[in-house]
Amino acid sequence: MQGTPQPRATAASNQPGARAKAAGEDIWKNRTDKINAELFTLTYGSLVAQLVKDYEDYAEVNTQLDKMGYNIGTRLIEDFIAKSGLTKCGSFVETADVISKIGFKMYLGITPTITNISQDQKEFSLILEDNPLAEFVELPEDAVRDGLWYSNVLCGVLRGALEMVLLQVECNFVADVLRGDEVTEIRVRLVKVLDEEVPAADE
Amino acid sequence: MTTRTKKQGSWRTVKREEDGCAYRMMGKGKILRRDQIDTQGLDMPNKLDDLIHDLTNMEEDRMDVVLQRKNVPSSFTGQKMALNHTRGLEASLSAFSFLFSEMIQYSQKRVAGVADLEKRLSNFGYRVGMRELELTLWREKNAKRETRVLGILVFINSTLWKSLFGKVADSLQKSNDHDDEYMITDNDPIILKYISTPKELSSFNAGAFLAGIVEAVLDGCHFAARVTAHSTASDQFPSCMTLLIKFDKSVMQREKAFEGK
Repeated sequence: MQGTPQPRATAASNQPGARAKAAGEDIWKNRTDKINAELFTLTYGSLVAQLVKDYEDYAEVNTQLDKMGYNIGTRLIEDFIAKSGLTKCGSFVETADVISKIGFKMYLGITPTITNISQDQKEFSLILEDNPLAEFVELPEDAVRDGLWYSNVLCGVLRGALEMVLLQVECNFVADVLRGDEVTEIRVRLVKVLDEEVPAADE
Repeated sequence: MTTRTKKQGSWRTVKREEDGCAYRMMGKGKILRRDQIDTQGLDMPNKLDDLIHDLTNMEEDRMDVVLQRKNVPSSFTGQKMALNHTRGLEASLSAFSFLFSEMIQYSQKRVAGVADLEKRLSNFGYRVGMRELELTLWREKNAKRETRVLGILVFINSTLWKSLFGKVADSLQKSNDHDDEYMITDNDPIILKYISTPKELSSFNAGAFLAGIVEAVLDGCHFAARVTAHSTASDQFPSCMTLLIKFDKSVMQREKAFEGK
């Protein structure tokens, strides 16, 4: 997705990364309707609580969150492309850059760091320094023990959104500060680039 | 001994070799005294002293708060800071709407009718309201406990609405027919901005979520009530919504007793 929503003639914006960053910030600042972040956080928390109540099994909650995220992702991508005006990315690494600097910025107001890009450039990690979904949250011990990934909806969103632009990815949390880890990390792996076809039905 | 491992932003993660625990700290140039740290819920308060000692000796620039020992959340943390750093932050309305739509769809699969669906959405809101009340009251400068019906309604109409939506609700009315019924109207509720209800569900109003929030707040203040959301659309305000608040008998009796005084 070579990103040039608006021409910008500053010296810094010659770098593709810097350009994405500026574009992301512009969209967030000037073209995004906002809502109180705490209401958003608490609402997500209420959803997770309901899932835990309904399924009584943390692994199943992870799956459900991922599914919901997937549904969101498949719709969100349209909004994303419309607002950002982006076209095809040159490489998966560039995709990573766009996800972090424009995607996350546009919807959550954060810019995760991209690290651990694999040799073949098909895998990368997103480190979330701040996670708006997880504010005010403490996990009970059994949730940590039984492997609840509280913000798992994000993985689904990435998976769904990328699939709509023909990138099939595997995406999962590998660490979360809520579980006592040092950082919050999402690992994304490109499985394959899909052929153009009629999209499968919603899950 | 303590080793400093990582510096991220204003956080520092510190690892203690004795117990292998990671601690997070914030440096702002002031040391908190032992008695200023809330040790409630800490499983080994006596270790806190030597932790602080370690930190003070180790760090050249001085620390103020040992903010959080990982795996031992909350009561040991600088709660004030943790609670306030999200204040005034914003999230994207699209992100919220996508999430909200997913919540409605999820609920829809598990219910028999509109009433059930609204009940479930109201439950979602209830959990939000409980927490929002706590947060709002804690931040309110001159918070006092409301004892009168009108007081609590004004609180919801203004203070709560402001903290949730950044504006006061558009009207607060008393029902003409029933003494125990009140109405709060929002001409253009932001959470319903991207929601349109299909014809076959015309009696459904996604504002039930909001009704749940208000019900929780009333409940939390000891004003038991039933709150329902109704569409009061007009040409001017197509998504206008009214919350109907019906107080419990016990609340009205108490109110009468107050009036007698």
